[in-house]
Amino acid sequence: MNKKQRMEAVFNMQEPDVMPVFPRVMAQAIFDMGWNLPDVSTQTELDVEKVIEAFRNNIIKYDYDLCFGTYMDHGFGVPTLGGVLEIPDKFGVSVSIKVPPIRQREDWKDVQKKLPLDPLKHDRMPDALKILKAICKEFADTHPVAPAYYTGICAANILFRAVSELTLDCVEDPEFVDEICRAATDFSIDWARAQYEAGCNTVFYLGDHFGTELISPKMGERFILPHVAKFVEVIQKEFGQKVFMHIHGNMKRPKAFALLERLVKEAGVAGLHLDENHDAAWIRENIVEKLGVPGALIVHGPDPIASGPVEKIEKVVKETVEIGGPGGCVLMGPSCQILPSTPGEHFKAWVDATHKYGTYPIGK
Amino acid sequence: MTREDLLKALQDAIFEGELIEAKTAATQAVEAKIDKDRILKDAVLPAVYNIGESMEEGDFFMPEVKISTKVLLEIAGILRPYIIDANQMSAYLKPPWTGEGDIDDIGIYLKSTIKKSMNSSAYEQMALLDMIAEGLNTHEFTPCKIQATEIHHH
Repeated sequence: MNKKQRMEAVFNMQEPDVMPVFPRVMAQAIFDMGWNLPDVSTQTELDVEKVIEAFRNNIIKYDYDLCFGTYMDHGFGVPTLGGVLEIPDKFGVSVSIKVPPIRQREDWKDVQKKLPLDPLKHDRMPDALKILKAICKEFADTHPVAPAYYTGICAANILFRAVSELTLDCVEDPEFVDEICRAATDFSIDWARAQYEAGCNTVFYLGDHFGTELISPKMGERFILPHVAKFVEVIQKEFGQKVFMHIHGNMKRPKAFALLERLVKEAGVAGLHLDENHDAAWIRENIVEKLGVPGALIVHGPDPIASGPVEKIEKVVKETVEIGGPGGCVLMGPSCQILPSTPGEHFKAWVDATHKYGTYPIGK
Repeated sequence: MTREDLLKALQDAIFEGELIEAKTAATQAVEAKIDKDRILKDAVLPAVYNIGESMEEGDFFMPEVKISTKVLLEIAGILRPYIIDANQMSAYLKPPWTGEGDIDDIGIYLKSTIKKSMNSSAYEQMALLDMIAEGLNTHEFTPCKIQATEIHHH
């Protein structure tokens, strides 16, 4: 099997030849080249050649399976809407939003006038699409290259409004939150279309850092669920692809698990990547067996992947694979993203150990 | 309303994030000259303890925490001049906020901080209330951000 077929096997609920690895590489690809983020990104442009080099190098060097085809952070679209990005010149620190477009609720009227965002024209998105096209051209025959973004309240947060203010809005003015969630999800759909048109060839990786960690499952039913459902429908209908969702929060709690169940059964989410609260046995029992969708087995990003040492990474991977791997339908992921400052040696040890211990059949 | 009822109303309003009711009850408690130890020990600190418990148990999430924070900041503003003498204000110091982690972790931190302070003086408890209100107001609860910075501890 090549890497693409391996991922397809997992999402078809079959055993692949080897457990695929999805590191969710974002800024790590840039730092790994010895560059800092200002070397490749301004508020409105990406250095296309450098980022292509970084991602080409990353995909080949680390030999993981599910790839991203361009550098991504939480700032796409933000400068066009009047916000300002913080692009740190410090090693290992990600881009953040220094000034969000909506500082006061009253700003929404002005921001609305700047919508819709056009991924083919606005700030760094055209450059990201050029990078994606080049990486897809080189790798998409053998590698699954995933598009990625967010929907609902998470997209509203990264696109429009800071977490503190937005969570307060959820109580004080939920209709306003509904409105900006709808607008953010409309952009998500346009951005997804542009990424598939640039050559992405596999599941859509949908992130959600609100999950049941920052808001209650009840609020999740309002500010997450309907937006995910709308998004999944478009991705299935227009591109014939499934949505693989990363969601934060402790899903072992009954109300949180009920939201997860609705995301799968009602909204149509076809795979789940949870966070470090969930061990391999829990993922196997609850995601694969109870919900009937593939799940990511998780090795915590900060410890051991970033902290090492290599021997500890190998030990944790071996245990995780032996517990969660038999039967297939799983891939390996970090607890969130491969941390920007993860040493290359540790990253490679994690991927190699997964391929070594995750060769099927496992546990027979 | 008896003094006990007033303190109960203050505790409930803080816990439930009812800003107007909490401000009214705190103002009435000050006007009624209820003992400052009682206001803190029988109403305010138990409310903060219950907030921490709800955070730990997964009943309070960030919206509820932000609302509680808003209430705590206001209540601290009403109680501070009543509890801290004017001549003590120039030397008034809050302890440092040392809470780390996500909502569950901060809930546990609030509970243990309150528990440890139950025998402290009203002055110390007021300083603790200020520390908690301001700490909750500035603490960042973004999971991905926590992971992105966690590496620096290694």
